[in-house]
Amino acid sequence: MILDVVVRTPLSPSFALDAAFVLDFDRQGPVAALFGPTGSGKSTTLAAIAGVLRPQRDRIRCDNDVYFDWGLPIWLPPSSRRVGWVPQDSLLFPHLTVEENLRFGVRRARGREAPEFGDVARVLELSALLSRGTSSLSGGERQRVALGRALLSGPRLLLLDEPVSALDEASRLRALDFVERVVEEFRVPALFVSHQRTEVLRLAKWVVRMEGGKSVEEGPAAEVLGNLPSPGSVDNLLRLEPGPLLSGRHVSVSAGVKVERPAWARLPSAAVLLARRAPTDLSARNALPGRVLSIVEAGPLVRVAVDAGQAISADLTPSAVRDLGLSPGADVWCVFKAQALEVI
Amino acid sequence: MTPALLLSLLVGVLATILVLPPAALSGWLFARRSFRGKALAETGLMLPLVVPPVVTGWILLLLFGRRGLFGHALDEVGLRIAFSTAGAVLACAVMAFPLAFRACRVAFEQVDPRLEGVARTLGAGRARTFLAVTLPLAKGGVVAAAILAFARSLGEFGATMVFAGNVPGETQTLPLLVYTLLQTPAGFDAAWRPALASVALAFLLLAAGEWALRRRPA
Repeated sequence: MILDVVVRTPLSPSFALDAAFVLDFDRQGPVAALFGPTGSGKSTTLAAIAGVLRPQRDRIRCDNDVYFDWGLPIWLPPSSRRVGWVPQDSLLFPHLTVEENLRFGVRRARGREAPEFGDVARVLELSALLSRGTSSLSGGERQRVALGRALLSGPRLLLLDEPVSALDEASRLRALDFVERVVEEFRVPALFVSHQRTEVLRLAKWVVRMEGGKSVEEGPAAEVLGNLPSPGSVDNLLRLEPGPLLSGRHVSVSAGVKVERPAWARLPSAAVLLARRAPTDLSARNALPGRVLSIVEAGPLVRVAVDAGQAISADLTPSAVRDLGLSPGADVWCVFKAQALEVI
Repeated sequence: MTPALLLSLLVGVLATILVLPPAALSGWLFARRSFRGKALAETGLMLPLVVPPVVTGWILLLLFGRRGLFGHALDEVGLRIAFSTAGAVLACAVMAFPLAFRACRVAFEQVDPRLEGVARTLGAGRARTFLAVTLPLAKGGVVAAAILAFARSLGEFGATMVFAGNVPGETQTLPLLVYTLLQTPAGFDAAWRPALASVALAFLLLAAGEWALRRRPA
């Protein structure tokens, strides 16, 4: 599916939206992201695609359907676009129960290939909430209901506006899981909006970066986000990523000129060795001292989390853990080859 | 007193039914849309609140009297509005309109327009969005508007007197009965019963209106 967006519209005397990008979900992956700081025009762009905001100029097309064309002129009402808009604050209908919210859009889905009610309730774990009112739901629950409601209207494209930013850290992780599961299970491509690099890295393969109302860059997530200066803290990132990510500076020498830029790297836990003493006579040049935080069984192996200034984890065999006498609090050295680092 | 009380209630109910759709529609329009001359139009809609009711009654006569602008045409098809119960209903509806309109407008303004946007993206057309989202969420305010309109109708005197007359059993509502009684020394003492009924009704309606406004939508 191809989404072709060129929108220009003045939003205030000093701020104009000017976004242009083409997304090819079949080739670039099922999830794409609009990434940028707060107030960069991401949500407005999303609202224009959903049809709840009418831009002044140009066009929005989804495959062969013209949602908007300034020149013709065409403005397809939001009810005919078949997009599932999930706004940032969920916007559940406060006068309806969870089930009534979920079923609000099923009329349009009738006769089309659309997710079944039972499947949506199962995947999003909503079955226990159906008869509840919306005011007693937690932030994560609200978000799931909004996602389910959008899915059940039979959308060809999901538009997720900051799907997890209103949630606390723990619910955020779960919420991202749900978004991932929905995209996988129901095969609906999604365009989501976020100012959190970690969320984008986690969900999207393709990123459009926005700044000051303009789309300034697009490309594979790792490339677009890797070129950005590192944020002050990578706390979230380390907790979110399946393999820990490290932040640092990437130094390369080309034509005799040293180029240094802030970078992030993923260090797979399979590539890390642990030593009780500072290693000597070893070819690996990277050894970081640290302290064992936790030791958790991970299948046949044991995952040892180490605080080495940054969070690093190592997958060891149970016998290795025993032989080294590792326990939380133990001092260790983390050893890895530079090639094992995946710089992003 | 009973015929006047019953007539008051009947006129009040009919006037409320008559005034609510246009009040809700224009309330929604003014809450959601912007257009040229909006402020001027709103001033126009609010006029019956401040124009002397007698003048409003006279304007109604000009429009709907037998030789009036519309009254002439209605007379040809055998419909007589002035000096009939229908006239009393129309007079009350016109007088109640500004209050009902204002209450509806405020009620619709309090509904988050983005909820309507969500409904549209879920496939609902304009009509279904209004009926399934906007109206239920504005219910408290619209009920309050209806109660206000009803209460205003019960109190209507001037416009009814001029446009519908003071015909017992046909257009003589409670306030007109009280007025009529006050014209004679004997009636002066009899006026306390319809007067008390008016005060009691007004009190009940005001309390009901407050309750409807304060109630949060479920």
